[in-house]
Amino acid sequence: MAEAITKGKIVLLAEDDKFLSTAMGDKLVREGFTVIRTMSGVEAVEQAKAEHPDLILLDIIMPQKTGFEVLSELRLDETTRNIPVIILSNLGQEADIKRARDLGAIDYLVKSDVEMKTVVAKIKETLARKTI
Amino acid sequence: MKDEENRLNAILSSMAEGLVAIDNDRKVILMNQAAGILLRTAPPEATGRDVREILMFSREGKELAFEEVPIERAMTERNIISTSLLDNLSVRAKNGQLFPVAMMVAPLLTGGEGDVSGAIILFRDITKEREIDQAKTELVSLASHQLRTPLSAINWYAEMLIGQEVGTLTDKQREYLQNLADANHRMIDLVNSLLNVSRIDLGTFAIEPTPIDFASIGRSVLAELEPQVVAKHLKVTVNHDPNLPSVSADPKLVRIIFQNLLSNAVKYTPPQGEVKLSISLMSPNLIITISDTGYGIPAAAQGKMFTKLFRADNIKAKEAEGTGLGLYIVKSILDVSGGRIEFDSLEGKGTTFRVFMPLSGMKKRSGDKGLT
Repeated sequence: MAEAITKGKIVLLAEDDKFLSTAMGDKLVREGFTVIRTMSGVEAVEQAKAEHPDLILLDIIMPQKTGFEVLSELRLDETTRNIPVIILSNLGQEADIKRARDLGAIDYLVKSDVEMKTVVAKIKETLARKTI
Repeated sequence: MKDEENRLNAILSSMAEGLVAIDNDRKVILMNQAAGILLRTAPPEATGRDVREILMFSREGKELAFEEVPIERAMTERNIISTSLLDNLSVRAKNGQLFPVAMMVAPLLTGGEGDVSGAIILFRDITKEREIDQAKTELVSLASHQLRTPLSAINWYAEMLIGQEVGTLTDKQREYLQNLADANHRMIDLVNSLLNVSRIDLGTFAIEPTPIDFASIGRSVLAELEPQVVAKHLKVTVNHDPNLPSVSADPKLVRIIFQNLLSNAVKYTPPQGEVKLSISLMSPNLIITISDTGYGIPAAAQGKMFTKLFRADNIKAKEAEGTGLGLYIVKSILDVSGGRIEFDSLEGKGTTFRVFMPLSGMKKRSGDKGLT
């Protein structure tokens, strides 16, 4: 059942720290996802529009464009508007969480407080809900 | 006489701070040049006018209610009122521009009865101070973000290795990796505590009260401590009146209070010991009592328990973990939000902390950041 959820599903990972990107990217591949790795906000928007991933895992503090800007842009585009976005950031203030939620993020996880298995579980949960 | 007047005028016009003197009817009787420049109003133009038309106060964009204006407070309370950066006061100049101010208002008391016959207002533009304060806050927030990034990486790689996702480990390798992960969690806690302390010291943390159930927050914190409780075979009991009223408090801050007091009780109680949490109602307060049968606090250290970075000698020898920041954070939160904390302790017997939270709830405070 779990495989059915991950098989053939594309997750776009927007993370500019190469150690975190490698860790999360590799983990998702082992879980059976197809992973598109992007290292900046600009690249994340481009890839989201070109590849239409099933879900986006989005950092906030990134070069060129912040995660907030990425979220706003995705919401403006017909083809990317409905892609579920989970924020994975080390900013953990209420104001940041509220801002991301207002921009349509479906979940907000703080990297230093969350285990990778929890992130994976959230992704699967979201995709399962989407499929229903 | 003329010389005297000239000298006085020279002093007033050389002052860098704005000075305005008013009579009992709030009419301006004197204004120096610096005040004129700050308010964009020529001193002769201001004389005789109501001070409320000249000095208009606001806080966060909203005009201040009449009784909150420092001039009114000084005159009705017959006290010197001073405000600083933390009061977040601004004044609108004649050209409409707002600038942040720090000020001091002293009532003019005359006659044997101490009748108020006016007030002296001294103020200055604190735009620079505010900018520096802002920069400091941003630096702390940025630094903590930067520190958390590599710590998150260590966490995640350790998690994958311990989970044997990329190969099997010997028991020793697993044990060492677990130690590495545990130490890293302590580092994250330390970064969070330091960040909280800097926000407390800067006076920038927000308090957002909402009706909450203290007992359920206490229970959920205890559930997080379950692994340590089990490892040390501690007996934990929770007692509370089933009909406790819900009190308005900031849930994040209440959680921080519980986390610090309960994790201390668990950490500083030897195996097989006891930790008790009870919540009771004793009007006008809700009383949270956390007691343990732990190492206790030596009498000589008791006066310093809420001091930043202080750790008592007896526990330093027994427990390497601990930052010396927890109780400082707890006390600071309670001081600012209207609560209070006290304790009694006997070395070798145990400690009891009691938190008093007024049933009227925590005082709301706006701020740009919350504690984490």
